[in-house]
Amino acid sequence: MVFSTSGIGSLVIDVGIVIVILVVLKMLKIPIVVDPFGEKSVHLRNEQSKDKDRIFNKFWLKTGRGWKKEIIDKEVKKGLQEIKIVAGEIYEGTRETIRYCLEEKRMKVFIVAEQGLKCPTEDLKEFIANPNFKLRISDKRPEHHKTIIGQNILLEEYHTRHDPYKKALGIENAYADVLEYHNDIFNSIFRDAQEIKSDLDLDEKTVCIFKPGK
Amino acid sequence: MIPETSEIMLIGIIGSIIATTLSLTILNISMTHRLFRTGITPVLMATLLFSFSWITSLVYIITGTAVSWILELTIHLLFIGAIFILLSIFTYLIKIDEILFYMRGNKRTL
Repeated sequence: MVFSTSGIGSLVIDVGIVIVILVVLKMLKIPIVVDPFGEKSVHLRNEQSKDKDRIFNKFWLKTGRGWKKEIIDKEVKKGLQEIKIVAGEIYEGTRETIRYCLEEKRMKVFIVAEQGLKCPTEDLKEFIANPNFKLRISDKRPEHHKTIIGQNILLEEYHTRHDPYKKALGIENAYADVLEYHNDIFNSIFRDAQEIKSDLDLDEKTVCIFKPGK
Repeated sequence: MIPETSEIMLIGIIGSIIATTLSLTILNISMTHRLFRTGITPVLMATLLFSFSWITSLVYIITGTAVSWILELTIHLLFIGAIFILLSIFTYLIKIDEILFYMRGNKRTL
């Protein structure tokens, strides 16, 4: 009578065996929860968002900006030299990321955005003066905004022109097919967009309709 | 009323076959659809355990011995396998929010 135990006793044994198996899997570094998009994916929040659940999210979600910085630092150490951004507008968070990549990490920044960037003219002129900054303006608003940092992708929640995104999904070391899909989208939007080579190409309608406080 | 050993064994054998078929189906879905990949490890474990329970049932039939520990082992294996199936459902529930978020804009890659 090897397993002869009472009902609850046998239940405890079974649960114990499950726990032991899970510990062994963990020790063998076999993931118990496999991520569907890459090595790890997490929800992220936007600091600028005026969302109602913002306070709740604050306790358990990283910010998009913080996540991007963390990933950029990690990837630059591995030798990454470029970052690709599909944006609607160049809000404060994007500006911070661009500045961080251009000035501190000396990376190439490829960005495609919609007309009317909501970016201060001085900042934009400063960016354009940097040869590592490649800006293109799309006629149509890109629906899904994303940042591709090597094999990592940040996908923003769909948002309108007047509101920044509330939530985003950060995918670390995305699977090849996921990465290829997002790279293809970026390349097709980037290819079709109008290139801004110098600040002479900027005009009020195309680029700067920034109004402080809006 | 306590059921006879042969009756329990019959339940064990049928249970093993149904459970193995079910877990193999879930495993197949997990391997082909990205959405269900989250719980692939627990499902794989469950499939292994269900297969073992099927083997123990077969051993019982072939040897014809009325040894109760084989019977109990079969039931334990089935039970642990069921816990792993529940665990895989749980892992799916953990990721469902992220999957739905991704699906909203990128259906083509799923």
